[in-house]
Amino acid sequence: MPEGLRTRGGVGESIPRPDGPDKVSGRFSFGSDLTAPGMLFGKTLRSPHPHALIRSIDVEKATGMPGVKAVLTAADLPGERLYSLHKPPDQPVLAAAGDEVRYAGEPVAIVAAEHPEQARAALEAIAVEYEVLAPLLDPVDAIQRGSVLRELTIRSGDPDAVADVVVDGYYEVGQQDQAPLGPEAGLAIPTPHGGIDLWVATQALHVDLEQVEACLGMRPGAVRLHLGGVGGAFGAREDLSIQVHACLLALKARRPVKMWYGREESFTGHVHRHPAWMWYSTGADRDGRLVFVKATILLDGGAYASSSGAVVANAACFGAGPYRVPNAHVWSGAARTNTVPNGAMRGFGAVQSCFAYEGQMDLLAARLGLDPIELRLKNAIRPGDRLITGQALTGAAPMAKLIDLCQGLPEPPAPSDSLALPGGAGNVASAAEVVRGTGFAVGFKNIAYSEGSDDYATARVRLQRGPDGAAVVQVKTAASEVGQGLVTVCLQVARTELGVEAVEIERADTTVGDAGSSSASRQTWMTGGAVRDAARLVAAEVLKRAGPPAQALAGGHVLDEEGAALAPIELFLDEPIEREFEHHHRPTSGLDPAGQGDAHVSFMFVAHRATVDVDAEAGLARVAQVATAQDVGRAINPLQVHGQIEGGIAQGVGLATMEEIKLKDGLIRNASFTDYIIPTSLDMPEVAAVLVEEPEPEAPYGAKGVGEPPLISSPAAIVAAMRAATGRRLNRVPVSPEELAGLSECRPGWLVRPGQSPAEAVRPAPPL
Amino acid sequence: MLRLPRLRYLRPATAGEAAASLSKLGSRAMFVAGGTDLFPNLKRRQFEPDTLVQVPPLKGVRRVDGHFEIGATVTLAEAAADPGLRAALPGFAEAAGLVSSPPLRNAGTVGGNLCVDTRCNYYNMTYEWRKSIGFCLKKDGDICLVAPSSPRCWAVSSSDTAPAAMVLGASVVLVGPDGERELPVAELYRDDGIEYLAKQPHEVVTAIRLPAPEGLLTAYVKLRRRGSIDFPLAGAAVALTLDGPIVTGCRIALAAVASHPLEVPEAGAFLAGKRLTDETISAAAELAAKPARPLDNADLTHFWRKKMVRVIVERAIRQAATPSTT
Ligand SMILES: Cc1cc2nc3c(=O)[nH]c(=O)nc-3n(C[C@H](O)[C@H](O)[C@H](O)COP(=O)(O)OP(=O)(O)OC[C@H]3O[C@@H](n4cnc5c(N)ncnc54)[C@H](O)[C@@H]3O)c2cc1C
Ligand code: SF4
Repeated sequence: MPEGLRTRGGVGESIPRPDGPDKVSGRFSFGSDLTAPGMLFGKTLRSPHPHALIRSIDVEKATGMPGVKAVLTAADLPGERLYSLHKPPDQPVLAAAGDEVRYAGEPVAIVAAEHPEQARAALEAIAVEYEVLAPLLDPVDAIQRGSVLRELTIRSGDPDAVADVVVDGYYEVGQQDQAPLGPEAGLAIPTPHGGIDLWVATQALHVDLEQVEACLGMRPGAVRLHLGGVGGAFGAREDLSIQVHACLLALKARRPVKMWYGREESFTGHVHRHPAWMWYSTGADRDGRLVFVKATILLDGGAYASSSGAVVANAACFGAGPYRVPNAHVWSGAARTNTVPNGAMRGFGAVQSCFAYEGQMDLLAARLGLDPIELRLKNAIRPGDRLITGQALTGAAPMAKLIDLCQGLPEPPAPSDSLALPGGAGNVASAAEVVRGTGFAVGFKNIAYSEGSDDYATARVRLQRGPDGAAVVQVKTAASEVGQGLVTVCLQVARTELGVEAVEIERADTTVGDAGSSSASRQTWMTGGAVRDAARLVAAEVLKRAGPPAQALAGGHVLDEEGAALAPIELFLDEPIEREFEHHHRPTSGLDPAGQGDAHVSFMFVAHRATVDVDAEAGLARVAQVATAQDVGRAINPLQVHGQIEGGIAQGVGLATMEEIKLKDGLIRNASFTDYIIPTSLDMPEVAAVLVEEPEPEAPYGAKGVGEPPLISSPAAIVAAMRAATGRRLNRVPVSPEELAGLSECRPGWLVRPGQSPAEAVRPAPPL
Repeated sequence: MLRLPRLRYLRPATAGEAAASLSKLGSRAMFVAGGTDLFPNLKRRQFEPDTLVQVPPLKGVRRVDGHFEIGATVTLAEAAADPGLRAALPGFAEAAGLVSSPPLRNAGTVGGNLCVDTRCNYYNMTYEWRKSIGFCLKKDGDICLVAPSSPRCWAVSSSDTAPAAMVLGASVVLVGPDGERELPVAELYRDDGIEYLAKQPHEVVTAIRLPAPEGLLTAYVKLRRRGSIDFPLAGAAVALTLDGPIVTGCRIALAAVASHPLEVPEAGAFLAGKRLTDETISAAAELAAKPARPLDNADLTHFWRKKMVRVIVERAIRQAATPSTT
């Protein structure tokens, strides 16, 4: 094809993202930048107690205060009083007098005022009388009292299978915050006809819409949602935060109301990654072939269901690792406790169990005297194999290849300047005190929605003449750009399908059909697929209008069979062409009582190798490099894939080395970025990444999702490297300096037989 | 979002005028220099003044008669980059360069760092958070949440430069409404998390004087988890003179292990007259760690922080003694 007839910037090219320059230069408008003339400021009064009965709420004083335009409590709710991602909903929009608050930070009343300080003063003036109740904080205790959000058992193969060697291990994963830099924010504007428009930084406009409509008690169509600029999400924006509250206040005050949380409030204003307690037993034959995996994976779901159900399922389904495991017995469950609800976070259950099963693989390798990478290669799952859920791998599953490629990546040089040492800038370590360790881990996870949900996304594509007469494409979806680069993907897909480089991605809102959530690494497949299919319908119409011998579109032209240009596309656009398409993925099924079923549409695999420098005396670590090979199906935009890999690894470094929400009596102790620490650029390792492109047969363009795998096994690899450097057990992330220095060890607070429910757990004997 | 309260902001031309305003307004007013400590604290309502008095520009790093004199509003970035300071007193320059992060060092001042508020993770929290757990002695309450049986506040002195200045025998120049006086840095602090400064509230720090005798060896080691931003979990400052292999003088002071920068004279005295060996260094570090009393009110466990004092003192002594290898 002559160069002029190639469409530049299509699928497969590393084009820069269209929203990039605005984002790095500060011109991009984030949710917290939203503004409207005459807007009020909304604020939330929250429960100070993790568990209490609300005896009474008195708002009288607040209502009359200067500037205050609306004060609302549960008594004022016009619609459904409960909302949730979970069905049936269980989370109160506002906790009601006579009812309980179930976590510290639960919303009790909302206020709108002319000035934020007036709203704050009004919150102070609301008198809530609480009868403090004992909080349920220990998840094992909760399970034993029947306070369970979901539990699931997977049984496959022979329950009595006997192995030559068996290793047992106990593992913990701390509660991680998604820490998106943009906190929760939105602006609600009442319409003249009694409806409402809400601009909000969210992961899923229609998922929000359905809940907002119900809670406002409004007819369909009266509420419209528009995407506000999203400053990161990682799961933190899947549940409602300000959505219903801002609308309620705006409807009451008949004025626009803006709400946005500060960093401190944000910690109680969104769900977090479930902390996990895991008891594992792994058996193998003398040659290192896995015989069984038995596991109990206990998650703290917090006070409300949120997406605990799906997290429990993921932790279980992927709980034996990307290995051939003939016999498995996995119990996975989430306890309901009086802590901030836990829910979606990048990796979604797969991160927690990966830390445990990969720790087990290293124990096994040590026991057998095998190289840990050899052991993984020997057991790597292959196309056609079955998972412990009985599902056969029908798509691309290049696990063994990933291991090979990852281990072959060049290792980093020894640290050359003191900044690169553990505790670097602080002058703590000199090269003499530093030991280097290398660790390896692999992981996998599903893409998109599972367990029988009808997963689909909608796109509307319009092709018409622009102001200068040339063809222009407009793409409209309700899918959230949360920083992952979806707008670039949609643009590239439209270019490829329509052969037109001028593509506008319109702002997402609910005037077009549902796109589902920007989660589970699904939007490239789902919304990318919907844009492709809608664009193909548009292309077919152009070709029809052009008539034979028109065959294809590229470089702005209609081409014949040989690829020769017949005419510019705009020639056929006297009438604009617009088509809409709903892309569904293959139906999946639920899991039966033995945890068996084709519950997932597709899987992504990944391997990580970490190199960590450790100052074992001080207990400080510096991750020098994370090398990775990732199964991406096909890279629609390799540059963006690398961006996702680096970002995910940054969060993996955080989970392995420092990030943890600390609770004291149910209260978050470190609700700020001073105390909840995340890696800075100085803590970020070099990343060496190789992409493995084996097209996924069912996925549009063969492209799998790429967002989550970088975070699945990077923490496990980093901790393996720390173990290699120190010889210590390190069975908990984040690894504390104390544990790394060998001054303390994480021991189970309960004894559980792997595979059993913690309902059977007993307390260990006190140390002698 | 956390907002600053409504404030009156005064910009006096001289330190004397600044001191006079503060003495007139009393506890309703506070000095502000770079604001990197004070502004976040005001947003969390840890202080509730109605007036801020800007410390006037007091710039310059000068060398006079074997001393360095650093103006109080010299930024931490400027102090850390000053070639004379770096060469003569690397311990102090390092300490300044290790405070917080580059943007904060561009705004934060040396004077502000010496006067920085004590910290506690029950106290450096939002008003709403403190209200939910119950207010403490340091602000609005009547018990200490870290040590409930204690009548006092144990908030931690977190200045990196204070111990580095202390081991030099430094002093500050204070200007009050009635004139100027000089006070050794060692006497600037009190062992109290609330009233942590021994100067009068209306006295402005205008300069810090750092003795820099020929042959003095200095180092500062700061323990923190990340490469940047974090307050010290513990810090160790050392100033050392050697006659060949023999220590002729040694001062050691610690950051972030008490409510004031903690000098440990026993450790310094122990080394004096001795040869620096693995044994003497580790014995001195052991002595230095003894009086350190970290509590459960900062990042990580106090147990680990206490253990680490010995480690960082050891390393600070070694670094001071062998500057080329750092
Ligand atoms: C994220 C973050 C990290 C930080 N990390 C560190 C750290 O690692 N180590 C550390 O030591 N500090 C740290 N700080 C605190 C602060 O940035 C520094 O201590 C800084 O040096 C304070 O200087 P400033 O000029 O900004 O002081 P300001 O905030 O202006 O003032 C601090 C206090 O000193 C008083 N004051 C200021 N100047 C004078 C003067 N000339 N005379 C009398 N009183 C005065 C003020 O009234 C106020 O009480 C950090 C702060 C933040 C926000
Ligand atoms: S040490 Fe005690 S009194 Fe002082 S700030 Fe902390 S909790 Fe409050």
